[in-house]
Amino acid sequence: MIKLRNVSKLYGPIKALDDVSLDFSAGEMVMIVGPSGAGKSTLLKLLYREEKPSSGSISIGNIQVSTLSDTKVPFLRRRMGIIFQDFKLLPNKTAFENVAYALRALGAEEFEVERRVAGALKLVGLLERAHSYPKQLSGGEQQRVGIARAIVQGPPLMIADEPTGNLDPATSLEIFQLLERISQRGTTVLVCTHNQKIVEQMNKRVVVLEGGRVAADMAQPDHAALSAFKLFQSDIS
Amino acid sequence: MRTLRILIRTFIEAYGSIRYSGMSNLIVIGIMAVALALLGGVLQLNSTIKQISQNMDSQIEFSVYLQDSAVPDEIAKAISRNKQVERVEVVTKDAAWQRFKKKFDLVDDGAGNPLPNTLHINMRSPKYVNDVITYVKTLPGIEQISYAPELFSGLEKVRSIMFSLGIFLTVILGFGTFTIVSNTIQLVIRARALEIEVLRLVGVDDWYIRGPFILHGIFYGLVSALVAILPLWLFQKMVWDSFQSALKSLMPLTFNFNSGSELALIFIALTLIGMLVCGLSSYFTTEKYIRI
Repeated sequence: MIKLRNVSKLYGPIKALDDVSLDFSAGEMVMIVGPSGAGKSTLLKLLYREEKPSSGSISIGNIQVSTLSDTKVPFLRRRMGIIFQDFKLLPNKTAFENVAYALRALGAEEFEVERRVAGALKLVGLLERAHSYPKQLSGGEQQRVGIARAIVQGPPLMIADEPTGNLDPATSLEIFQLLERISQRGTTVLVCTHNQKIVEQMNKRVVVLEGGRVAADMAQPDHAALSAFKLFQSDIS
Repeated sequence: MRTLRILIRTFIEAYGSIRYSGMSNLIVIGIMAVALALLGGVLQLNSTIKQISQNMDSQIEFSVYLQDSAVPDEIAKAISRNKQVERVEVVTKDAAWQRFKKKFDLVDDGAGNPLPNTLHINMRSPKYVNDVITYVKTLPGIEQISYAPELFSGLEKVRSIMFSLGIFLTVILGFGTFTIVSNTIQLVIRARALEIEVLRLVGVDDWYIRGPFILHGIFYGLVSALVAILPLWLFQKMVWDSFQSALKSLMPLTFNFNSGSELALIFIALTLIGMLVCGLSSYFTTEKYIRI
C-alpha cells in the first residue's frame, strides 16, 4: 500500500533521510524507532506531504505523493489521520467539537457529524466525556480525543509522531493498545516512538532509523538487537 | 449542498475571526472610513463642479451691460440681426433698479441708480455663443458681457487642484489602511495558528482556510464604506444641494443637476473600492502567513 523508493531528504547540507526504501502493507502496525535526529519525523512528514523528498519516490495506494501538486495535498490528507505528541486540541472546543471540527469544515451533514463523532469517541472510550474541554481531561484522554479526530473520517492510514511522548507508561500502553485495535480494523498505523518497553510489549514490526538510513527492519522486536542500537531514552522507558 | 454547507461554515468562521479582533475592528474601520469619506468628498466635489461646468457650457443665454451713453434699443436691433440670436430682451436701468429694490426690499435713499441698461440675449444654439459674443464686443457702448463659463473658469481650476490633492491624500490613507488591515489579519492568523494547522492536517481545502480571513477583510471594506457614506450623504443634502439651489436662483441660467444618481454611483464606487482594498490586503496576508 505504501512504497518508499530511494527516498532522500536534504535540509541544506544535512541529510535527514538517505536513500530510504520501505514498504508498508494495508492494516499493518509498524513502530519506527531511532535516536533524535535519525529522520523519524521527517519520514512521517514526507508521507503527509508536509515536506517534499529531495529525491526518490513515495506512493500511498495509487497516489504519487512525491509528485503530488500542492492543490491535491488536502485530498491526500483526507485519506490519513495524523496524531501528535502535543495532541493539537483546540482549547476552546469540547472533545466532541474538536473531533467534529474537521468534519464540519469538510462539509459533512450535521446528522452525519454527530453519528461519526459519537462512533469515534466511543471507540476511544470517551463518549461520556464528549462535552468536556481539553483542560478538563487528563493527558491520556486528550490524546484519545486526538486519535478520535484522526479516525473520524475512517482513513486507511494513520500516522502518529511520538503519540505518548507526554504520557506516563501505563497510559502510553493504553494508547498503543488503542492504536493496535484501530490497526486490526484494517487501518495501516505508522508510529514513531522512543518507548522501548512498549515497542517490545506490542510485538509489532520495527523499523530502526539511524543517521537517516534504515539500520534494521525487524518483523518482530528483538530485545538484544534493539538494546544494541541504544535508541531509547532511559528516562522514558 | 456540501459546497453550501462549507460556504455557511466559512461565514461562521469569518464571524469568529471578526469577534476575535475586538477593538481592533473599530480602529481599522475608523481609518478606512476616513479614507473613503475623503475619497467620496473629492468625488462629490468633482461631480458637482463638473455638472456646473457642463451646465455653463450648454448655456444659450448671456447678458450684456451697456454704458449709460449707449441706446439699448439700437444695440438690441443690431444684435437681433444675427440669425443665431433668437431673442433679445432689453431691461432698462430703471426697470432693473425697480426689480432690484423689490427683490431685496430696499428703500430708495436718493443716491441714484447704480445699475446699467442690460440686454439678455437668448441663442438658438450654444454652438455659436462665442461667435456672437465676439461680435457684440465690437459694438460701441458695451460696458461688460456676463457669460457663465468665464465666471466658472476659476472654479474649474479649484476643482482640478482639490481633486489632485484629494486623490493624493486618499492614496496615502489607502496604503495606510492596507497595512493596518494586513496587520490585523496577521494577528488573527497568529492567534488561530493551531486551528489553521489542524484544518491543514485534516485535509480541509485551501480556500476554506483562507476564506474567513478574506471575508474578514471584505467586512472591513463594507462597513467602512457604510460609515463613510453617512456624512457624505448629509453633506450632500445640507451643503451641496443648498449651494445648487442658491446658484439656480442667483444666475439667469437653467441648471440641470442630477445629484441623486451621481451620489448613488459614488456610494457604489466607495463600497466596491473599500471591499477591494481590504479584501486584497487580507488575501495577500493569508498568502504570506498561511502555509497550506
